[in-house]
Amino acid sequence: MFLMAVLALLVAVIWIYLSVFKVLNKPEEEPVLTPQEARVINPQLDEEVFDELEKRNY
Amino acid sequence: MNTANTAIDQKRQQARNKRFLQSPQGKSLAWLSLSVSTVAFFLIVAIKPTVITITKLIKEIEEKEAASLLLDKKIASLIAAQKIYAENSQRLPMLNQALPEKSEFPWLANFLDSAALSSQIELSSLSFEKINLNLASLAKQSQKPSSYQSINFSTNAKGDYLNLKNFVSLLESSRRLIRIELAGVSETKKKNEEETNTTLQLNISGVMFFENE
Repeated sequence: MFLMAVLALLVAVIWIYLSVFKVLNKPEEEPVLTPQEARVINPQLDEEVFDELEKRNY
Repeated sequence: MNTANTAIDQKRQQARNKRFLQSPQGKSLAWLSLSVSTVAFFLIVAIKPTVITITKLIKEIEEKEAASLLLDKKIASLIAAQKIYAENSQRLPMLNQALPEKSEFPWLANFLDSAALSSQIELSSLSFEKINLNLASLAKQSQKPSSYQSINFSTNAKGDYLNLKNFVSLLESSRRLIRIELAGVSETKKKNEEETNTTLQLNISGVMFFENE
């Protein structure tokens, strides 16, 4: 009887562990941000292009 | 005979078990087994769903924190971009001159004509490749996403060396993005003319660009 109880406890602990593992490794069904929302723009601007264009008159 | 012995053994065993359960050790073991079974039952029925919910929430919080950090970064880059845009807003129309939204090929014809006039050379021919003026069909046709489209052109001009050189330098000083792919100079001799006034012919093939909407 005692052995069966210990076995049940062991099964319960392993079951919980596997369930948690499954939840942690489950791929995201819907990402929090869309790829467009996640895209970070680069604010760097090469101002030499403007200087170069200003030199051109036509 | 055997079955009778077995039955006796079973009865003895039952009596032994009964005695053991009535002893203090047996009672303790029974209570301990009951406690462990109860713990196992509650682990499965109550603790497991709670632990799974907690894990899901922790995972969700981590994902949302990462998204929040990314959005903070995006906001910072947008503020920086806005500042740079404000600083350069007066110069931005130059970009439209360099890379217009439409092909604006008449501009190039006009530009080459005025450049030829100011360089005092004779523009003998100007040709463009086939131009699709329907931008919607143009976008459908282009399989690869590109930020610009291009139009090929070629022109022939006649004049002396210095004027042709001046013409090419005017072409190079154009704000519109033009790439000269090929430039060739050949000599054309006219009858009844002295050798000192030899006319040169300039052939230019190039590409001009415009924005792909």
